[in-house]
Amino acid sequence: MTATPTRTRIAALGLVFAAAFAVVGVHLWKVMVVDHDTWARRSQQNRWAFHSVPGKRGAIFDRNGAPLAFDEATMELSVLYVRFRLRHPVGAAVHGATKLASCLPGGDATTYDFGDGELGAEAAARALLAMPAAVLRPRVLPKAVASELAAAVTTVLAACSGQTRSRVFGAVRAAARADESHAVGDALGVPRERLLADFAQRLQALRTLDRDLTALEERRLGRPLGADDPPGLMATLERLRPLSLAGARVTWQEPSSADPAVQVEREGSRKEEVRVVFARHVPFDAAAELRVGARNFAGIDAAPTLARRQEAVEGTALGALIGVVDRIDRTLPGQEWLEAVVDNRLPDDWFEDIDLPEELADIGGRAELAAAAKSRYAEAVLLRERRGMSGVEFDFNGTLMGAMGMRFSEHDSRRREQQMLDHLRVEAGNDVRLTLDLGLQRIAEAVTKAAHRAQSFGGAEDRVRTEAALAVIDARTGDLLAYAGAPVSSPWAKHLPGVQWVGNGSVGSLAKPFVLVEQLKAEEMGWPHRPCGGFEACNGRNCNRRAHWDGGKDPVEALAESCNSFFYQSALGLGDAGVARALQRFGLAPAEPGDPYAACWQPTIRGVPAPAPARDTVATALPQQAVGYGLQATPLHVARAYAGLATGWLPTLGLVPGPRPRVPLDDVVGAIALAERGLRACLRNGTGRKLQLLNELGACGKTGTAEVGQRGENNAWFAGYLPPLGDSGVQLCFCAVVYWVQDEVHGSEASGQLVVDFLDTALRDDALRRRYVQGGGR
Amino acid sequence: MSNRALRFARRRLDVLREVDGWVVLVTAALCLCGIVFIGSATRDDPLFHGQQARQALFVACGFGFGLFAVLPHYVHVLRGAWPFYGLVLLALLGLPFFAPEINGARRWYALPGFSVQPSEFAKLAVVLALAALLRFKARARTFDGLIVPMLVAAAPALMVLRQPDLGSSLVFGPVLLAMCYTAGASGRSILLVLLCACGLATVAYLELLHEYQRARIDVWLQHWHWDEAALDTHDVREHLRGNGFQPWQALIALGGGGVFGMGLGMGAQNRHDFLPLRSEDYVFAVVGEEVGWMGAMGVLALLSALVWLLLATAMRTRERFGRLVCVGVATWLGTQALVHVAVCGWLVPATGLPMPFLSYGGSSVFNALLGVAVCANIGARREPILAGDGFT
Repeated sequence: MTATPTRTRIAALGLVFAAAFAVVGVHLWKVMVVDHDTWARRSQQNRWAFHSVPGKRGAIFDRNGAPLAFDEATMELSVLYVRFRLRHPVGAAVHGATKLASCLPGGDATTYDFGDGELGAEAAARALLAMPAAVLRPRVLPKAVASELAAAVTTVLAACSGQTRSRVFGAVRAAARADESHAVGDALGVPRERLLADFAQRLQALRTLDRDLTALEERRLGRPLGADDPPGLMATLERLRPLSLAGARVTWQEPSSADPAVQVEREGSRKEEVRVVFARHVPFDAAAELRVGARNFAGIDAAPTLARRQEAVEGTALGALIGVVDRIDRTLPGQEWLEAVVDNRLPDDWFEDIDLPEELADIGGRAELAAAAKSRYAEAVLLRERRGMSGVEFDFNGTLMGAMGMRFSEHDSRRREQQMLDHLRVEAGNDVRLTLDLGLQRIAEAVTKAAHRAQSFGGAEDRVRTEAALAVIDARTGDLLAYAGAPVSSPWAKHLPGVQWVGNGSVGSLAKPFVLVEQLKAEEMGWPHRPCGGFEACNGRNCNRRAHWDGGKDPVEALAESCNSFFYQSALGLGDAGVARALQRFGLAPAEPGDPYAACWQPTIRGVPAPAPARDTVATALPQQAVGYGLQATPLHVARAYAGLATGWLPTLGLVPGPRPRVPLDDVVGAIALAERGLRACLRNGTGRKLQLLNELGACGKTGTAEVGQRGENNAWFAGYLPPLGDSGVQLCFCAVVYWVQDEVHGSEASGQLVVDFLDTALRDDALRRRYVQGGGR
Repeated sequence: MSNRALRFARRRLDVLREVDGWVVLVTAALCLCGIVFIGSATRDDPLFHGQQARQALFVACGFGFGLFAVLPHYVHVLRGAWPFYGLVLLALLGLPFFAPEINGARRWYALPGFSVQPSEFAKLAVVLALAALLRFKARARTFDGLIVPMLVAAAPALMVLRQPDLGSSLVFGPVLLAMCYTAGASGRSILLVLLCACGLATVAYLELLHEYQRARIDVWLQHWHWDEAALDTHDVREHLRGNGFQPWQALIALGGGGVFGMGLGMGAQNRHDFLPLRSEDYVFAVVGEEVGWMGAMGVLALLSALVWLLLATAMRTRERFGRLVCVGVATWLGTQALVHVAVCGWLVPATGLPMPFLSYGGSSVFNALLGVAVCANIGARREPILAGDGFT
């Protein structure tokens, strides 16, 4: 074949093609051979994913098995605004009408909203449907705006007419081409009124959903929603609407790559592309409509979740005692804690058996996979697991918290799982049963609230200091049966009245029985003391001008009448060591290691953040110490001490049933018996004689009033116990205090009455009466 | 049958002995590859149910029709070039009025049992029309003489672009250039044609391209700067979820194939639906993933061989019209194949262009087979029988 110019040119073309094929071939070599490892890894990352399965947290029960806190499967509702404004007719109408208005002269400031006003959603729908179809012709508006308007119109017409989007879009385009005056609302030939009526129904459906969710939440919380509560559906949509129009983005600060000391602002997704939760704890049946009729609620999604449900409503002492649970990332766990959790759960050989492609295994794919699993698991623990932040939830977190599971699976492009390659089994947490009795607890809450209300006095300065608290325990076992304080100003148990204290925290005359026991023991043992018979008669100077005369020498009468003269003289005889021993014996002061009473000291109570008793022996004179000044103790610790008087041994307080050590007080049995006579007399004809119910029940008790303020403001105390109910029954032992009552209000009127109200209410409940008063209680 | 008729028939059929067997073999191999990989790409997917069988039917019809296209002398092709071109133009003009809107575009006429895509036939029509124009030597010598050929190519190109079908419209430019060059156009004229094409492309980019098409070009420009760190950034992730999704998944498919591939029907990206339109616009990615670089080179080798065979036919043909048709068809098939592979490898911005013989599409494979049949017809005739000016 001879080379002619044409043949040469054809040959040149052939060379061009050869070169082009060579370029493509080389590029394919680079991608498919040289960079194969990288792309193989990306292929794996594309398809393989870890899916976490949060563990169900254990439940908390009261002593009778009533649930106090448990995980409930609920739904969490969220809105993805971009989808809502693209696919829901209400969102599309509001967005589209605002866009349309912005194209009109002077319409820049016109924005439609989701309300009922002149520029509300229905007005938006009317305005949008009245738009001339010719507006959508090419070159009338900028392409982007025309596209948005077309999309909005299509959504509204398709949803309100029941026709398909493609059909509607075609009709709108045809209308745009056809007639200058044709409105888009007439493109389908469906009467405008019908379209608007359907639109109104859609809008109403949203509002009804919002209203129903609000009602559910209010019922759950037991109160109306306030400004601090998360907004509902319509409020969330209204908040997102201007952000969407403005194209606002999520921003955050991070160190600059050039200079780590400098923080730069980074932008992320548009805010309308971020899913916003607007309702939690929605029962399945309430969210069913959303799931079944998802098309009618475009942009609004319901996802299953686990919610912690508490029997106690917000703002109660029980709620504070149970505590709160929160997502782990919000609890700011330490890195070591997180690593420990991950290492504990993920076995090192988790991926040993997985069938990896050879080339991935060769490039350390297995190790990479294991590292990715750890990282993903840690991230999932942070975001999906919860832990207790306070109260029982915190103290028993190790028992309650389950273990997150994880699936390692292969999925397709729509995230549909195709094959599970391996999994880590999810473990539910264990339940915790408490010693609390829900019935008693509720009564305690009510009476402390009433007492707080009744005893609050004076101006704001006084009223803010008044608090009431009640502790009820089983004298035999130390089980905490009820604990309440008012007002509850924080969800944290450590802020509960009675756990914290105000004023000088003095327990007042409640300390006297313990000093009396020590006095009698000292007389028996020959320790330093002044014999009672040698005391001076009480002339009223130390007893608010109420003279007890020789009654102030009789231990029983002195205790019943709470004679300060008796106990001042007793303290002077016993000395510092004797008074200290008096309190140590009943766990109200710590003893040195090796001391016979060292075992009586209980510094902490698991599950209740009550601080240990504390004494001020420096600023408080010895005689004053004998009448309870300088001694700060919570009602729980005082109740424990009185349990020692009731039973002859000192129990260990606890919130969880089970054997706990108790310290026998065998060496003071006789003294305790005499003290008990005094406590009985106190209620019969002593300072507590007005507490008739207690007398009728055969209770023993002691009033106490400690002056704490300049104007005679008092801390009013009462402690006591009911008679035992046979060998194995519960013996109620209680201590109540009202801090900062006005002058002339004493322990009997304030705290004693609180206990009377508590028992009176409990007696009206058959089950409680049988359980705790009449016998056979557990 | 009479002796005369028998002799007539035998003379007609004698031409089959002159047909280049390699062209037929290579074309058949490519069609077979197409059927196999379409089957792999659509296996177990109800959305693409029956594509493999239909493709086989289209191939069979294409071969059958091609057989009849080889028998008569290609002078009839010359005579029918302009009517065919006019018919195709009419078909393209009628699309906005008579074609149903599918996925936002009007590209197919719906006929009972099948659909016809005029833009595929426009490629062959333009080749034939340009060959008919440029067969006169004098026409190609000056730039003015090339204006009409440019219009002949531009008219259907713009109509196809408006459908919108950017990918198909890109084929007309190289075909025009190659045929003008082969016809004897000077370097200066070629440069001017190139400049006009660039100008047209700029106008198209600014005025005619849709937003999503411009976005695809922008992402393609950006992706050359992506490293591992960049892939973790929000913006790049957004691109990979949006306009960069298809080409990125195609790259993963190709790259994951390695040297020998994952095996027929075993491609992960294919099986798990990560490749959209994998039997059409990204079939080569399926090839690369499942039979690896070796298999992909094999397919490319077949296509190169076909292009080379067609160009060789052009070199052997002394008659200008036939020569130009062969060059045009070779350029069309070669360009289309190269662009398709380049798109799969993200060497060029993403655009929907089927792979000749491999991608699913009745109009595409039928038209390509018709084009090859015309070239085979040309190759089977040795003597220049067309008198008149412009023959060397």
